Amino acid sequence: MAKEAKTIIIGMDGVPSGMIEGFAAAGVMPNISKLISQGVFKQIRSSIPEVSSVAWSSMITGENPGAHGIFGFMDLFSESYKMRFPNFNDLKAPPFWDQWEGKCVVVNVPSTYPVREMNGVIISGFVSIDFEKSVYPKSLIPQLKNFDYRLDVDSQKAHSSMELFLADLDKTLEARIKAFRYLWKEVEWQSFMFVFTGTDRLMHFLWDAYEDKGHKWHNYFVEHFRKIDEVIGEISGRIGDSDLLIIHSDHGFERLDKDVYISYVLSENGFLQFKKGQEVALNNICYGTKAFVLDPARIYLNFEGKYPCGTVKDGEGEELLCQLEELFGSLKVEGKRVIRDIYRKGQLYSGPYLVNAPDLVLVGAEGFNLRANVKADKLADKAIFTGKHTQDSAFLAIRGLSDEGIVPEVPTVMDIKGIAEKNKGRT
Amino acid sequence: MKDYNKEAHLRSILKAVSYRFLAAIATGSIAYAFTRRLSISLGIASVEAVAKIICYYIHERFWSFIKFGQKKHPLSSLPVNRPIEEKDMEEIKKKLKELGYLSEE
Repeated sequence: MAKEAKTIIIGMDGVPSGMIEGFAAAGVMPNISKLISQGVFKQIRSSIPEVSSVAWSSMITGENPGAHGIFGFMDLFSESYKMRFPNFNDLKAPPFWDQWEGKCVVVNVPSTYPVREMNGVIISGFVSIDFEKSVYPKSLIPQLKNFDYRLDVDSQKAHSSMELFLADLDKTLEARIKAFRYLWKEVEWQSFMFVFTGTDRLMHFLWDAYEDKGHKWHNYFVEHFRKIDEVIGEISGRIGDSDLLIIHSDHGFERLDKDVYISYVLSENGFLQFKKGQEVALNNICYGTKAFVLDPARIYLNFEGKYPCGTVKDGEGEELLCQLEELFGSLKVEGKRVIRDIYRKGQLYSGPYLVNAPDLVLVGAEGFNLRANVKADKLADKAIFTGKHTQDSAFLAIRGLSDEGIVPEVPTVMDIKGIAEKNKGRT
Repeated sequence: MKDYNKEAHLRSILKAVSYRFLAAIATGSIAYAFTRRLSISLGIASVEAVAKIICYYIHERFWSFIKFGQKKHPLSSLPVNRPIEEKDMEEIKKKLKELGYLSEE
């Protein structure tokens, strides 16, 4: 009996399509270049907002945030302004490994912490803080510790010593590759998903090194991608012709020029107010507030009955949204428009958790990084990071498909597998 | 650290009792077949049952430390669906702030 085809998904967090094309053409990523020539390579759109927690949750469940319930890295407790961390236990739609037949190995997918029991092996990705809650089955932990496996690179180091940060990034990558090789061999898996997240960290701190060939860390940046390409080559060599290989990013990246503070805009225009004599903080929002914002740019109307100091009545929502659209649509910094797109929740999301969705979501224009930051005392500032996420420049490569037209603009793992299976049926 | 692969003490005790109930009936029946005296047969069955419950419990606990033949990786049944605790929040916020995913609250 013929073996059932396997599915292999390689994630490259934050890698824009242009970077992949450039490295493939320049010979930095010869293996990915070969894969591109054997299948579909496509620029795709990310989730909105274009952050990893939302994008990966959508990718692994095949659902939009209104159905899977993850709208950002942070959310609020019900009827409160207190922050909570929407974690993997809050994901309301099943990931593919709970739906597909056979054992799955899932390594380093963001927003899968704390891990849940599943048919196979899972090691959670960002934000994971405790090994005990990051690995299933727990019996794998001693082996991972032998590999010196790290749940994440220590990004704090990048703020003090780039040398130490990059050394940590290398060790994290090496240990993940060891874990990948071990699990590939030891588990009888049917689907395997592995995500490189050092790419995202590198671009946050060293986008300038990517752009500038004379930069001290340019060669390091390039070498990091060369190492990833070697792993991709190793995987390509190990799989059969009928196996499905998907490589993709969750969002893109670009140069960051300015941070722009959305809370400041709301405060200056009278939409957001804080209790007098108390610390300016989300928890101290007072009556009179019409709207507030959570990172990166999710705007919530302060509805009466929904929030403790809710001021907005049901009938006032539409007028407020129009006012906010006008305000942000015309927002400029140094003569440039700051906001590329403004979306109402109904345009983006649908499903049983729509009630938890932000009422308005802003997407920044080129170079502008939108942040909530209630404590900001100015509209914009020079950023400490050099790169920012983009919504419209992620990439997708599928080996064995030839017609990119059949791949949706915002594809999920479910879509891709479905397309590949239909395609196989035709051939 | 709690080890979820091993049996709970109460489970070992209950298994010892249920097994001895069956075994005591067998012992009593055999004793009666040889002696044809009901009181002696019941006495042997009762004393043997209590003594062997203790033996069985000790035997079970001893075996629970031996890994040979235990099914584990990759599908051991571990309760891992644990909530994020309040103390975890500061660490999570710190990590999000390091990458600019969370600004001042």
